[in-house]
Amino acid sequence: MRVDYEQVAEASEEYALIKATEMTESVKNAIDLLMGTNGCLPVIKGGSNLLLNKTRIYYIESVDKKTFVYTKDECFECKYRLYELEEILGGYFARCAKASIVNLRKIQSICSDFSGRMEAELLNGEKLIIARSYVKEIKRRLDLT
Amino acid sequence: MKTLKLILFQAVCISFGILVIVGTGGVIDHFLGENTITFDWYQPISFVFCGFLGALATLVLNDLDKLTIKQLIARVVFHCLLLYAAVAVCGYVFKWYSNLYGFIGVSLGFFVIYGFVWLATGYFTKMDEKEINAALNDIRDAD
Repeated sequence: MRVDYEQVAEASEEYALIKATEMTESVKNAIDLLMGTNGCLPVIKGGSNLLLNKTRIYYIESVDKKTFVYTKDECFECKYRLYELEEILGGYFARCAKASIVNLRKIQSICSDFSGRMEAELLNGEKLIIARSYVKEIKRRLDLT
Repeated sequence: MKTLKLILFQAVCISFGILVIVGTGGVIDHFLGENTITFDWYQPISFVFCGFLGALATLVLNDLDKLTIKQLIARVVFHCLLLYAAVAVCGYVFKWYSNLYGFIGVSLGFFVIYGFVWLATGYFTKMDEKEINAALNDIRDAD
């Protein structure tokens, strides 16, 4: 693939455009790298320390001052607090309630009720509440504002 | 601070709602050629007072995220009745209406505006939902 590089004067002008015939694994990896969503997160399961690829994370929840990281069908404990994880993960990981962070790339769809509250259905069928106060931030992460 | 901000914002919204009802009533009154609407000195401030009173009822709607749909509906109905009580009592105390027809007019205006606010909220939430779903389609991982 041909790669062009052009220097720009300001950070706000920075952007990457990938033109590809299909979304291959390497294209996805390149997007993850540019979005800062690649890498691993240290987690604990059954007393063992593990490194969990960020792309496997569906959502993160804080319960009784403990942080749990959920993948498609597994749950891990993590030593970081939610506010730290928000910074570490960045990209498409957004706070969706006071005690949870969701990976926007793992959301199948969202559905709202008349009060303005939204519910996200994840790719594994689990459902998460998106509090009204976090909708604005999610829209910002999706470049909608 | 967040609660105070919410109360102030709601007070402004409710005062505005009352002004819309009274203003519309005044316009209709004028075009009917009656011109019976006149203000005593305390009337404008009574709208603001009612706005604050109604805004306190908004505290009932705080933290709705963990409620079930049934609890949510119950909470909204309770809020509507509290707000209606605030408007009805203020209307009585500050003489916004002088007879039963006036009371019915204020009540109708209240429910129309209350319903309209919820409909508008629902509409904008649906628009947000559509917009977010479209954006999610572009970034979604394969399962």
